[in-house]
Amino acid sequence: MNKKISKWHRLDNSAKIYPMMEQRDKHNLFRITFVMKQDVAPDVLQKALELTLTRFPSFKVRLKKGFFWYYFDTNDMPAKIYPLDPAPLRKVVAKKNNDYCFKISYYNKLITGDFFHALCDGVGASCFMKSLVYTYVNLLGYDVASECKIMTIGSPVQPSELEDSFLANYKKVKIKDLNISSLKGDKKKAYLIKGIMFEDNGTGIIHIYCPIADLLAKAKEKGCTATELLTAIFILSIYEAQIEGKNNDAGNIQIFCPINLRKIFNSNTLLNFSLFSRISANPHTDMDMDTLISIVHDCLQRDTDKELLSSKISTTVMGEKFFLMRIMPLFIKQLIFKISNLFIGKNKKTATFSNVGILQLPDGLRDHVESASVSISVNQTTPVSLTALTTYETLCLTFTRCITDTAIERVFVKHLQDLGIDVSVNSNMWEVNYAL
Amino acid sequence: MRCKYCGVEVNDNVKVCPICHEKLEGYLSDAPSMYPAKNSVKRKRKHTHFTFDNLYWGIGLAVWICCLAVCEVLTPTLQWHWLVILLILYGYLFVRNTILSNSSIGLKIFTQIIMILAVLISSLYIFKGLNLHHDPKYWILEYALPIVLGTGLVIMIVFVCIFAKRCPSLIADCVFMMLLGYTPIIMYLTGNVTHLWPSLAVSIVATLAILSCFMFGRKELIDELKKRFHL
Repeated sequence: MNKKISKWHRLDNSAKIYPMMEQRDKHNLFRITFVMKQDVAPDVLQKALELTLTRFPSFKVRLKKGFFWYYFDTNDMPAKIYPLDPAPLRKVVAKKNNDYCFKISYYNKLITGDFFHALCDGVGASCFMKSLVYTYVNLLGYDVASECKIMTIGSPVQPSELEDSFLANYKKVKIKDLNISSLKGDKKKAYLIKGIMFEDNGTGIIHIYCPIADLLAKAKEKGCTATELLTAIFILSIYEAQIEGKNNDAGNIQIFCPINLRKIFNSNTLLNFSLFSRISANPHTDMDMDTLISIVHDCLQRDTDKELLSSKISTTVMGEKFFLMRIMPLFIKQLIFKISNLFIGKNKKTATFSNVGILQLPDGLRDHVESASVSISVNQTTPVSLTALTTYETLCLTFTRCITDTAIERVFVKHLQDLGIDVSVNSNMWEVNYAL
Repeated sequence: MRCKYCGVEVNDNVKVCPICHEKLEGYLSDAPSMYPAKNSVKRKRKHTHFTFDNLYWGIGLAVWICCLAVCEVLTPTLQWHWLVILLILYGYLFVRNTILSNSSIGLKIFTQIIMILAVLISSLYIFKGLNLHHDPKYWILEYALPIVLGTGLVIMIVFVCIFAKRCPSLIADCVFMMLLGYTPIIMYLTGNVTHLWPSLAVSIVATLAILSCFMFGRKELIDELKKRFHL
């Protein structure tokens, strides 16, 4: 049955927090970048964006304040494309962007989409970007078949794409059965990455490319998955670059890994639907590859258990459904959140590693798309993050950082090389003036 | 290009290796690179002293000092220079919170009502020395409050009639503000004010204003309320 798509929709459970965390010059943002084989034609991209938006009502919105919560309202203003800002992951200022919560930019062969996390997560945004690039290539005059891997502009919009899957999978639980401890995680302070911040509030990006088959073969040799291997290398790199021989009383290295819940709970929402797995490793006892792989494996196994995830979902949704929360006006919620944000959760995370997985692209796009990558915004407390995205046969690992030092990336690349994986890199060279 | 120091393949046209920062061989000055250069970022405008705030308060302070001097020389018993600084403050808030602000029209009118009332209250207390027959509070509650609220409501009705269809969110904003129009009659009923006609007049205007919202945009109003209260 085809339900009517509403002209407005609520923010999903996890998105509710993002507008409240917004600061004057920063908010939670991530970027999906497509490297094309030819220079981008701005006029065609603009047309492609207009067409693509007709298929994605959850992106054709503006964020508005309600009395109790924020909500998304249909945005009838035209969405525009912009030349790429050299400073990556700058806040998408809705006022300067016809009220849209995402921004599409272009530069030479790049097509980038910066998305405010309240709008969607990496999976939702990648569906949108895939559709945009596919439409763009077709508008260029190439006849590329979608091979059922793209949400094409003529296909019907399913109401389930706008579903808050947290609410859909919420089961009422008694307060005593709430799983608050699993959401709070390790009580110990996490090690915080240190470094000199970029003076100009800039962000450095380094892409590391390697053949996915080589990495999978190495992971198989070690009896683990690619995500487990990469997480272990990431932890080891942080240790060797920042802690080894320098810091004897460092706290645990805690990596947050987002878990895509769509497959586990059979959802096809384009809104946020992920939870975090916390991987904690002791820098004094656990710092060899095999031990780390085993720790990461155990943590991921524990945190992807459907029962545990279900109880986590119920716990987070219960917070939203709590009577006092429902009747509290938005401005009081914001005030409480801003004050609590100053004191709570600052020392819980060392870095984020997000493996978005394989970007399923039709074979016909092979001649047009070189690679794709994801990068997520960083801040003073977690100045380095790592993301992974696989396109065709190439894995693109992207380091995003707001500190000048690239030691973690250097050690990470060295570890990949030691495993016999040949890597290639490129960067926006934010740390070296006049390097481009 | 392959970096001879760290051994990675650099697949971009850059001068130094992104990993070890050693110089690369093979950089082509005329070939494009993957990302735009950092130095192409628009530099922020240098800090200037001639900002709106600095200019406004500089001129405002000069005007007030002149008025203070004139006041002390010509009318030392009547401290009207305080009214000048009050008007300067109002002017500043008018520009910042009404002209330059991005808030909704309903909220702007509401802010104006509050600010004008604050100016009136303060000015009446400043002129307390004059032989007014009643306490300033009397003038404010009996006349100033209904007149300012009534004027605000009339402006809102005009806005609703013109913009209701084009900007549905305006109607919901106005309805909340219009409810304020019942304040004087509530004060009359609770015995805080003695004259009925100003309070009654404002209540009638408020009722008309709310009715105009329903007449010109009933559907839009219901939709807006649903959105704002997540109904």
